[in-house]
Formats: sequence, C-alpha cells, structure tokens
Amino acid sequence: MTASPPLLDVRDLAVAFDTESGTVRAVNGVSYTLREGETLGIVGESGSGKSVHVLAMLGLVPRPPGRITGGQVLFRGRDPEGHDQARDLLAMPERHLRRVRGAEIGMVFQDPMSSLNPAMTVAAQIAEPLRLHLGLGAREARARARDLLDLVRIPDASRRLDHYPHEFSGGQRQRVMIAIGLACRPKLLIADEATTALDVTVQAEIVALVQELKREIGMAIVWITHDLGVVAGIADTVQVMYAGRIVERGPVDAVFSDPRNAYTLGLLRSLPDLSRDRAGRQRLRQIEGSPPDMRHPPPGDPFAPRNPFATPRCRTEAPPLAQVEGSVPGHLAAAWYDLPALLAAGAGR
Amino acid sequence: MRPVKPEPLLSVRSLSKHYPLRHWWGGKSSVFRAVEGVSFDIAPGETLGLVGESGSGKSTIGRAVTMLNPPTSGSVAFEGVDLASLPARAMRRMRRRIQVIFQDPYAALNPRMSAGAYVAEPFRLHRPEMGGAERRDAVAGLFQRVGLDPRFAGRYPHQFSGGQRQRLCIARAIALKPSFIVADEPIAALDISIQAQVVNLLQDLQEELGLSYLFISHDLRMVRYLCHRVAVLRRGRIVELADSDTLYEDPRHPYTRALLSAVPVPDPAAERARLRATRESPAAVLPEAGALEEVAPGHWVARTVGV
Repeated sequence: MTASPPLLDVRDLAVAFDTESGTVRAVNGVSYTLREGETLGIVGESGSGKSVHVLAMLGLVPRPPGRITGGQVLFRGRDPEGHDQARDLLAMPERHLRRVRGAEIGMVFQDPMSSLNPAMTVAAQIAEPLRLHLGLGAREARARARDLLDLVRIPDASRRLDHYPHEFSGGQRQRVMIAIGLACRPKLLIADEATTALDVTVQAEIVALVQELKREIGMAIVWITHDLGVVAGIADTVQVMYAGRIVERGPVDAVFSDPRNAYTLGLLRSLPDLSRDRAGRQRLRQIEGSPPDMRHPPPGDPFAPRNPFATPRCRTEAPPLAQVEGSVPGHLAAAWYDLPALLAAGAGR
Repeated sequence: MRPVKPEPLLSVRSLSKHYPLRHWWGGKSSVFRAVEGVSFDIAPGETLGLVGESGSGKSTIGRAVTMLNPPTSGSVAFEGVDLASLPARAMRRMRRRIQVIFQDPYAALNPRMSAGAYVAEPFRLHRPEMGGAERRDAVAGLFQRVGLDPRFAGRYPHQFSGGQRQRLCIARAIALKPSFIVADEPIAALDISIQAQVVNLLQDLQEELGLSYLFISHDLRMVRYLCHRVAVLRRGRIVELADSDTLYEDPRHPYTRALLSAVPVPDPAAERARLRATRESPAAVLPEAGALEEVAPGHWVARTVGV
C-alpha cells in the first residue's frame, strides 16, 4: 500500500429527495476512497444509491427535489493554477465543478442515444469538451476527435467524424460516449450501467476496450453495474450497496470468494452456474422479499427483514462498515453476524 | 429436414415475418425479413429458450406464434390446430390456452385497475357464468399461488414492487389454466435479487400445471438454467437448436460460440482469464446462415452459405 493521498475521498455522503409522500434518504453516509489508476466496481440494485451518490458528487442531482444532506467529496484534481490539490466537489462553485466534469472526471451513462445530441455530428460532440476545457482551436479539436474515434476503435474514423449519432450502431454510440468521456484525458472515468443496454457480445467489446484504454491512459475507473460478472473481470475493488449504504467492500477476489455480508452472499448465490448441466442443478437460491421502500426504511440493518442470518440486533441497530477479521486488509463488511461461522454451522441451507 | 420431437404441443413450420419497406418517392419496394423460415416444436411441459441479440427476431417470433402479430407465412399448429386458419371466435377460445408475459410488468398493468380486478379480468371475459364470490375465491387462490398476499387485491399497480407486479402478470396469465406461455424477457426489467424468485416461480408453476414455455431472453445464464432446449437466433434465422446441455457444452455454430464466450463469469480469476483469452483470439467472421442440418440427434446447426 502506498501512502500517496487518494484520488477520490468520499466522506459520509448523504443525499435525500423530498417527495410528496415523504423524504427518501437515498444515500446514507457513504464513505470510501479511490486510488489513482484503481478500478472500483459498484454493485447494487435500483434504489441502492449507487448511481445517485455519483450524480450527487458531480453536482448532477436536480435540486429540488434532491438535497445533499451531508458529507464531503475530496477530489485531487488540478486547481485553477494547475497544481494538484484535493478539493471538496460539494463545496465548489458550479463554474469550477463544470471544469472538473468532462475535463478531470469523464462520464459514460447507460443510454448513449439519449446522452448524445441527435442534431450534432460526432466530431462536434467530441470536440466540445476539447474546445471548452483545453481551449483547442477548431482544427486541432477535429484532429483530436479523429484520434479519439481511432482510440475507441471505430473503423474509418476520418469519414465517420461528420456522421450523426443515428448513423452509428448501439455499440458504436457507446464507443463515441467513451471517446467524449476520455477526450480530456481525465484522471477518473465514471461509467454508470454503461453496457447494460447492450447485447452481450457488444458488452464484451466495450469491456475489452475500456481495459485497453486503461492500460494506455492509466485513469481510475468507477464502474457502476448490477452485473457481478463484469465486475469480477475488471474491478480491483468491489463495493456492494444496499438501501443507500455500503454493505461490503474489498479486493474483488476476497469479496467474491469470502463474502461477509448476507446480501453480497445472496447476490452471488442467486446466479445460476453457466457451467452446471441441467441434471446437476438445484433450485435457484433466491433472496426473499423486495428491496425496502426508501420512504420508510426498516429500522436497524435495512436488509434484516430479508436476511435469513439476521440477529435481533440487526433489527434495531444498523451495523457499521468495519474491517473483516481473518480477511485481507481493506475487506470491510457491515454485519452483526459472523457469516462464515453461520454457514459452517449449516445455517441458510 | 427439421427439428421434430414426438407429439408437440406447439409446432412452428417455416415461419416468416416480413415488413414492407416502401420508398416514399414510389420507387421499388423491398421487404425487411424480421424472421425467415423458422421451424421448431415445443413438447408438453417443455421450456424452449429463444436467445439472440436485439433485432434478431426473438420477440417477433413470440408475437407470431400467439397470433398477436400473425406471421407473413408459415404455419403455427397448437395442439394440432393451425392457428392462422382459425376463425376469430375460435381463436378467442384458444387464447385461454395460450398466454403471454412481457418484460415490463408496469406497462402491462392498467394503473387504474386494482390488482384483484386485473387478475379477475380473464374470468369476467372468458367465464361469465362465474359468480362474484367464486371469482373472488379464485383470485385469492391465484394470489397465493404466485406468492402474493390476497389482502393486496384492493391495491393498485403503483403500490407494488417490480417483482410483485410481474407476479400479478403471472397470476393473470395462469388464471384460465393455459398449457402454453410465451415469456418475453420476463426478468430483464427486474432487480437482480428478484430475478431468481420469478424464475423459481415459473419453474414451480411448470411442474404443477404442466405448462410449456417459450422463454425469450438475452440472459444466457438463466436460459441454460431454465430451458430444456435452446434455439439461437441471428438475423431472423435459427442458427443452432439443441438441448441446453449440448448447446452450452458443444456449440457448433460460430455465432453460438461467440455468444456464449461473451458471457461474463462471476468469479474474478475465471473472468480475468476469459477476458485475456478473448483479447488474444480475434473475433470470428460470421457466415450467413442457411438450412438447418442435424449434426447429432436433436442437435441442429445452420449450414453456412457462401463459404
């Protein structure tokens, strides 16, 4: 472990939405750090806060109804004088934040068709951040845009520059989005369900592309997804979120092979085994119940009502995220119960 | 030369669905072949998986075999009766036996109809002789059967979670005791923690009611788990059809191989190895699919055209 300060340091971030039927506490005290060049996979389902917390730290949550109710997001980027400095994104004026977004933090979202402007050529859209943030002239920006299309492996880039988004396939549009996200060589790329809408073969291409670009550019990545398989392949660290909290986090090998939170275990066990033939298969191990209504989250550990391993304490007191005993450093879990001991004793089938 | 199993419940032969593409200036018109010459059987109690990428024609086939969007040509025989030639009245009766579950349960539900009324609707339409009390009992039974509390019958769709809404759709689909259900991406819109619940429910219902399913999905992992046989579709044609163990263990068509090798594995070491292997092997050039050929009993692979 190096002692260099983290690239991103999220401290106790909390986000709420005011709705007609009450306040939704979408993010409840999320804290984590990201090293330079690290790939963090964030897994969770809708309502887990995985997307909202990222939007909040980039100043992209509409206010109202959204509110940031607490926390700091320290990002070590360039200050206006060009020095590396950790600054709180949440306290930054919008005009500074706009520089950070796009220039230092690139973003790729799920649906490229609704993120791209249908009335602008891709050259103009890739050139926009280059001209805005790097002050490049029209000709330079166009040349860079062509290089970027090359970089994301779109064949015949020079000719494709003047095409409009509808002239590209779904996978190619997502490549264009990645080109825009990487245009200013950001230190951090945030991909939110970037391959969810794509076919599995196209997803494989995009994942491979991002891996290659990471080797070439060396940026850190936050990859938000509900697909445990994608995370297994590309992430250094995985973070599982449920009901606005981090319930488990650690090196990807440790978390997948030795999960300590019951929700993580439930997710891993509910997937059918692709290599298991039908004769040898068992009934899928399902997680009972539904994700909580975040307007009225249950007291204590929000997963407790669905958790076969829950203890009485789980129902009254939310467990802290703490270092797991007997696992590698940095493997953190929020649990009052000792999952390996319970499993060894035959609990939960 | 077609895949045949004894006494099929559903028998689809040379099914095609074409859409005319007319040029607005009145020039030559052409057709888009969404589905071309597809044949398969589904036995009673069997689940046939239909996999392929978006635009491959999966949903078009689902809608064609239920006559929701009848095929351009080819035949669909259900229990030996050709559905295309059925008069409207007889087709309506047949609809009790054939049901559909869609991807987005919220879109399939009527926001102003209570859950109980929604599940009871098939009885009102097809079993008008049923009394109110009998109908309420039947609805309560269906709620229980799909794992919903019958006391929720008075609630409206927005008061249910995504998984519960899909359970409502399933309750309605089984109300008239069908023998065949087309499930078109039934878990794609559900949270991961809910997908296994719905798949287990579909499987329990199959065992209890002897249902046959046409399970349309892009989730290759779930398809292997749930389906007895699988057909791989590409550009409107079947490129491979086999029982699922054979298809996943011994895929013969290059497209099937490409599809299966693209599925991420939720095991870090294995998945990293898979990504490395993919990086080192260049993507195969995929040939056009021709007629199906039986390479082993029950294992059909499309001949390649122009190679």
